[in-house]
Amino acid sequence: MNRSHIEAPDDGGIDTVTCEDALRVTGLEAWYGESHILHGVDLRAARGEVVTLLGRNGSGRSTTLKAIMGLTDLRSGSIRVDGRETVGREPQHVARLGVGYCPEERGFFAGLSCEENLLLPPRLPNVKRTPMPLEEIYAMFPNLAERRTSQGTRLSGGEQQMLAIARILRTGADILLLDEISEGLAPVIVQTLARVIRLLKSRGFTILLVEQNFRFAAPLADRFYVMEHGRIVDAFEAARLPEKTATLQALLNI
Amino acid sequence: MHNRFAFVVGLAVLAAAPWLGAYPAFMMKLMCFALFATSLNLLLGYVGLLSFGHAAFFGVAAYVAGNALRDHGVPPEGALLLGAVVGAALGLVMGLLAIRRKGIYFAMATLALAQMIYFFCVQAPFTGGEDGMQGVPRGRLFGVLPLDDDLTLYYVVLAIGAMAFAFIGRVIDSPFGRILGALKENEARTVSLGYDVDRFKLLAFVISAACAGLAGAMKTLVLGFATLSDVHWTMSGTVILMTLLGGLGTRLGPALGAVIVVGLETRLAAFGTWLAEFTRIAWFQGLGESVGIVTGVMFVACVLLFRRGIVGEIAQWLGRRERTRARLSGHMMQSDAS
Amino acid sequence: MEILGMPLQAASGQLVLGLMNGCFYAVLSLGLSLIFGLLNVINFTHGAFFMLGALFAWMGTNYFGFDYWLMLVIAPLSVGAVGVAVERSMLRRLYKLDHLYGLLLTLGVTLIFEGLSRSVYGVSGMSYAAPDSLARAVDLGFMMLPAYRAWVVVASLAVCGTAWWAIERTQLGALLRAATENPRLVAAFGVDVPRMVSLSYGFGVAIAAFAGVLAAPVMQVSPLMGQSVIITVFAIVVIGGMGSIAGSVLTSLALGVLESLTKLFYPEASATVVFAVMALVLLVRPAGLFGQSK
Repeated sequence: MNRSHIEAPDDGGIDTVTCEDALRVTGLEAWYGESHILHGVDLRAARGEVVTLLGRNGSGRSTTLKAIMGLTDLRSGSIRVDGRETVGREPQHVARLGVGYCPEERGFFAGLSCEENLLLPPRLPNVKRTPMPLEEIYAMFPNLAERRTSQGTRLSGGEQQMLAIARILRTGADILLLDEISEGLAPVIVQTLARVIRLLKSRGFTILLVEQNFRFAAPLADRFYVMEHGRIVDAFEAARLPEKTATLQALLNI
Repeated sequence: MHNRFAFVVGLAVLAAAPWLGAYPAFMMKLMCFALFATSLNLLLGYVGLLSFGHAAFFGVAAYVAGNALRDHGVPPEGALLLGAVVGAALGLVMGLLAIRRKGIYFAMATLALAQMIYFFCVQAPFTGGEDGMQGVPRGRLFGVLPLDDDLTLYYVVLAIGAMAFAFIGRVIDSPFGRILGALKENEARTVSLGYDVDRFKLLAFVISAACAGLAGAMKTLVLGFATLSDVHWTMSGTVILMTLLGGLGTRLGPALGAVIVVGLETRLAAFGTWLAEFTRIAWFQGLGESVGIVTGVMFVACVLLFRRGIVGEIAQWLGRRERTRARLSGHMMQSDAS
Repeated sequence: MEILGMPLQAASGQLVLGLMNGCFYAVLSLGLSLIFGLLNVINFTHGAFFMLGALFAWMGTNYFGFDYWLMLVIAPLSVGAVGVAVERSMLRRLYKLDHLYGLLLTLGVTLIFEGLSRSVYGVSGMSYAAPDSLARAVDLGFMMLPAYRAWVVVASLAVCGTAWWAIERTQLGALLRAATENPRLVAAFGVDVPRMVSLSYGFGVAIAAFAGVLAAPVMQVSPLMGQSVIITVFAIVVIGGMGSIAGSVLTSLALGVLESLTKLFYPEASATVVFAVMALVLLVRPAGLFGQSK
């Protein structure tokens, strides 16, 4: 199997990690029905890091997030959350280890108001994490406080995105998988989202971002991975971004 | 090409069957149910509509034909035609009402409408109620050929059955049939192409009901009686089982399913005795009484383990994909690609 | 006093009877809707579970001496457990398929349950006595109201009301409703969706059994008692749609009363009047009275 080299420090094998990564994915393959989408993805995210997955549409980035969450049909390889193997487990078990997933389509339920959406996720049987209280969420997302009684489906695109993120914070997740959160949003809203990400990072959340919008993701991330055809083809730290910009522009047509 | 050859061979075998030891009366009964199941298959396997009330067409036609033969001196060919017409008419009414609801509501509506017809049959004097309609004579075909002899009737039924079977085959292969297949595959797309999908469904429903009616009339002609169990919902369920067991959307499947189910029901008691001796479990002795349980178990087994049915599984296993409407993937109006 | 040529006593008696039948239909259609909403399966076995509730009550009282009130608790719990077993072992595998397979599987299971019961108990009905505390009538002035029937109405509406409250007003209900729309997202919140689905199926089945226990003293307990009831409930569901709980309760009550009054004025049509209404609704308002949810 053609595995790319990951240029990250202390990648000393699967079982010998000195400081535990929040998330460590090795040789991940995934299928939707008969379609073999991921051909061996390796990535890691240390606690408190913001890591971005770049790549063209169809490169398998969203599928990677779904696979980590357990939402694809079939998976093989290794996915370790805080050192615990989850590749064979159901989505609810992955969630109970503190992983929160915000899908591209955001996902709202007809008939529930904004606040009801926030109250929806149940308190999970996990001692380590507490769900973020409502007041704290409203402090972080003032727009949602204003619109708390509106129907979830009536919110603007930006408000919906914020609601989707806020909702996973209610599960007590501290590893966030965010899929294309800036998509289709006005620049002003995108700036707000950037602030939110920075705030979350300062609070110690680990964030894995899938992003088309390079300009949004670039200033936020500590490390980058580049995906193509279901594989990681490049990985580098933020410091090396300037030298990589040219190749990235070619790859991503930006 | 391949199908036509099989058809001719099959017909020849059936024609020779009585000389090979088969009982004509039993074979005729099998043919009636084979036609009944094949008619349901047109709707269920090729259009994807679950009609849960097909017994209404079968049973009412059985009664009407019986009444015509016994009380009005109608000759057998007239009674059969009448059966088909009655089936078509009922199919039109039921179809007009039920097609308005989509998906699972359609199935429930057909069941409920058929139940209404069942209650009507329970109360209507001409059906004979609980006692049923007995003593139906076979008459003379075209006023000339007496059908009382089982062997004579056998060939008549075989001829009619073969024609009906061929007709259904023609419908499936026609442009109309292909549109039905496209409809099953992706209704929204078919609508967007400008086809009045409800009209097509209704026509398929009527054709299916007409053939079921023909099967019912044939059954009365062959067996000489018609009863309430012909219109009961368990009959609707049984014919679905035959189709499923044999293979939804395959040409021969439903007929095979009918043979197995009818054969099993007739021989269940004997089978039970054999099983009791073989396994030394005395409970099997009473198997003859437990048609319902056996039918239920077969349903469960089919749905869980072989949804493709016997013919479907054989086709799979032989590596050749039997070209059923279910396999059409987004191609419309294309010729057979084996 | 007479109404439309019928003595008031008879008319109001039939009204109460109709209301009672309507309550049975309401509890059954509620369970059916819940199961359909969550599992996308038309639970044909609902009628058989109703029958098993009555049968278990009969068995509990006649074999173990448990009284009616105890059976009102035991029967639904045990039948519910059977339901969960059926869901886990068989229904679960069919969720990704066309919902006609769910209907066919539950049809098969119905035949098995009814066949097994029939092989032990035959087809003729067995009687089950109402508890002494309810075996009397209350004089309302214009009619004598059998206490048991009043109890059935109260108990059924209480069950429907509780179910409505649980589904519309609790977090669990919200999660259930969310899971009918987007089960994967709900799983991503950490909810064990398969277990929730099993328990919901068990609950829907348990209330059907509860209705069965309620029905035992009024209908003859027989292995076939679920059959015609379930088809009538299907017709009611086609009429009212499965989108709203209040809608299906109202439709059930109305049709129960209609059925009963028809028996009074035009008895030959009483078995078919519900289906006739269904045919009418299909003609006039194909989307069902309260709109289609799916």
